[in-house]
Amino acid sequence: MAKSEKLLDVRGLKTYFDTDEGTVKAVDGVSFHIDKGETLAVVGESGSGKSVTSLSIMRLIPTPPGRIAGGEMLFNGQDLVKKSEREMRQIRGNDISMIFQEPMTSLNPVYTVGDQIAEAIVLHQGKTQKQAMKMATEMLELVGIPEPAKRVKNYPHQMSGGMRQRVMIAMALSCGPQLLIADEPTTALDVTIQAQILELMKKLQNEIGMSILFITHDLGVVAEIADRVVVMYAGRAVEEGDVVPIFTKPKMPYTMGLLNSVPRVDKAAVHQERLEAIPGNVPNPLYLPEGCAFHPRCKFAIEQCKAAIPDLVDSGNGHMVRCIRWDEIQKEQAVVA
Amino acid sequence: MIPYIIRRIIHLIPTFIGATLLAFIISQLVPGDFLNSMRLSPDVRPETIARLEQSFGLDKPWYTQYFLWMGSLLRFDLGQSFSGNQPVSAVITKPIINSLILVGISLIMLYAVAIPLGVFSAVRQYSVADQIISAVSYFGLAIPNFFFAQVLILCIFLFRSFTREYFDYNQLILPVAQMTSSNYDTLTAFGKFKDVLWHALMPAFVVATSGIAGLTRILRGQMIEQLSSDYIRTARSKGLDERKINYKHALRIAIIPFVATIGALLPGLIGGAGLVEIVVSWPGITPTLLQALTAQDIYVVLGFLIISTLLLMIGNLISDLLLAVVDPRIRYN
Ligand SMILES: Nc1ncnc2c1ncn2[C@@H]1O[C@H](COP(=O)(O)OP(=O)(O)OP(=O)(O)O)[C@@H](O)[C@H]1O
Ligand code: SF4
Ligand SMILES: [Mg+2]
Repeated sequence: MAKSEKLLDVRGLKTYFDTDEGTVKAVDGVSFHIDKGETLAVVGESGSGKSVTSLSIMRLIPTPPGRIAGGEMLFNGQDLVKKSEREMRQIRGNDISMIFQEPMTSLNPVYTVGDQIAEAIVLHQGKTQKQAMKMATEMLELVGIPEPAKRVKNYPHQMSGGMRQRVMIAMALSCGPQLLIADEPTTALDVTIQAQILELMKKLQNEIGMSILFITHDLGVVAEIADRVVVMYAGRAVEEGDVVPIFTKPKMPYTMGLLNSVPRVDKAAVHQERLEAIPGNVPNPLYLPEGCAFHPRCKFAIEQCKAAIPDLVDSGNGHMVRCIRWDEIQKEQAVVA
Repeated sequence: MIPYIIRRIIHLIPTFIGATLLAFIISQLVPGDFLNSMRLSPDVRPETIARLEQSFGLDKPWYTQYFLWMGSLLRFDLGQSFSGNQPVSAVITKPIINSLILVGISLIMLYAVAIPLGVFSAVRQYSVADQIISAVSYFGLAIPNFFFAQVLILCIFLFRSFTREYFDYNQLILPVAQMTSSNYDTLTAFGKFKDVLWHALMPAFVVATSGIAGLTRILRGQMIEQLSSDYIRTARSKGLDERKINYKHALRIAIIPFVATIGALLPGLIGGAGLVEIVVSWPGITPTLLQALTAQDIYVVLGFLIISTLLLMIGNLISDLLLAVVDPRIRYN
């Protein structure tokens, strides 16, 4: 592959919410990048800040109470944080678009799906309503909806969840975005439909050549779709790298815990002793533990872990880890094995 | 849709019979009848009274009177007015039209003012403007219509004293009584229309106030709820501007419950117009109805009752039809 080009480079993003109880640091210094044409998965438990990260990129954080408190997000070299609302409106739905977890409620119930897809086309591509409706029909065909000419006149309530998610994808892709943000797009769907939607996204990515930021807490999905992974914990990236190294040789104890808590097909049953959930709960974002936020739940934790927030360091080949003991732990693991 | 409408009308028949029966019984509970004053007058001979009793049907028991009246209703005849000796329909038509004009204008004002205000306060939630709108709304809800009308009349007079003093302008900026000017008959059709509209402005606004206040409050709540919903997030992620998001997407859904209640609003507004009509001498339903009640001109009262019930039915039908227009989820079920 030619030298990869960065499409989006998020550096030290901080998104805070000012609530009555105090400032919630939902995202606190997250950095990652997405190359052109690649798929980056963001994984982490509920509340780790995945959705807030994606909404920050779209600059759709409700303000107040939310605000982007720091960092930069370079999209094609231009900082999205510095864009005006007007400039952002030209980017949303056009250069960066988004699909969401809730296909049942993400479409407006009183407009036809065709109208809703055409709306973005008219807005960004300056087409007439008629041309846009024709393109909307073509988009429905592209995302594999049967009888698109008829379906384009349907209202959302006349479609199943899987179909509606296809409509969302059609809408998101209608203007040929460079980046598609998918926030748990398959979580609300049943397993067969999930597989179909993932298949569709992969196929369309190849055709359109866009990058995908794929948010999920389902590691099975990550293995299937992503090139690289960012693991998030309590508003920070704790491990980042190519999918294969992270799945086979995770270096951060939290990632190990995540991987141990799901059944794995790639590991023979003998190797994987038993499934174990990570003990404890995700910390309350208002009262994050001192130092490494994971230390109360980490079986490798030592006194020093509480002293300072560990840096995200390169453990070799761009495999980033936020853990002061990753080196020792790796050796320890090797001895055990 | 048609079978549904027919079913709705059939359901209304028992309601209708019940309402008229109740009204009839209540009218009988009031001691005496239309001929009371004549009976007490020494100038009227008993034979005359008896003749009148017979011609009005007042000599028969009340239930016979009721059935006779229902019988004529089936022939679309609302009966005779005792006073003035003319058909009830002739007595009530003009006042009903006049009231509808007033209510129609206030309905337009209601929506024209309340919708932008409701959207604005939802979008600027907790801003100073939102809080001022809230405060004024509570005032609008609390102040009785007839009193508010008098306050406005006073203000208009005070304003005239002011303009007379400083600008040598000795006219009221808005008419404060009647429905037409004295030169109404000489005006062109368009001039007549403008004249009535001009006279209706102040009373229609008074009638609309509590509705404006209520609708603004409720719409604000509806809008706030809609604006935090998922499909609005989708609309934002498409790059739409706030105007489109507020009006095309959120309001379109927030307004649905109001469309559903237009029908119920109509009789409420007609009722609300009542005392205002008296304060500004608007020749509408209420003054005529009060007159008929005092005179115990029972069929005129019942005539108003029937027409109001019909209006209610029509209003409900209209809102059901409109609801199907604005909400595809209903249309396709
Ligand atoms: N509007 C808000 N006001 C206050 N706090 C918020 C708001 N939105 C998000 N948060 C906080 O930000 C944190 C991260 O939330 P986020 O939705 O990003 O989690 P997530 O990783 O997407 O979880 P999930 O897997 O459940 O979707 C949470 O602790 C949440 O309480
Ligand atoms: S820094 Fe310490 S507590 Fe945090 S993950 Fe590493 S070992 Fe565990
Ligand atoms: Mg989320």
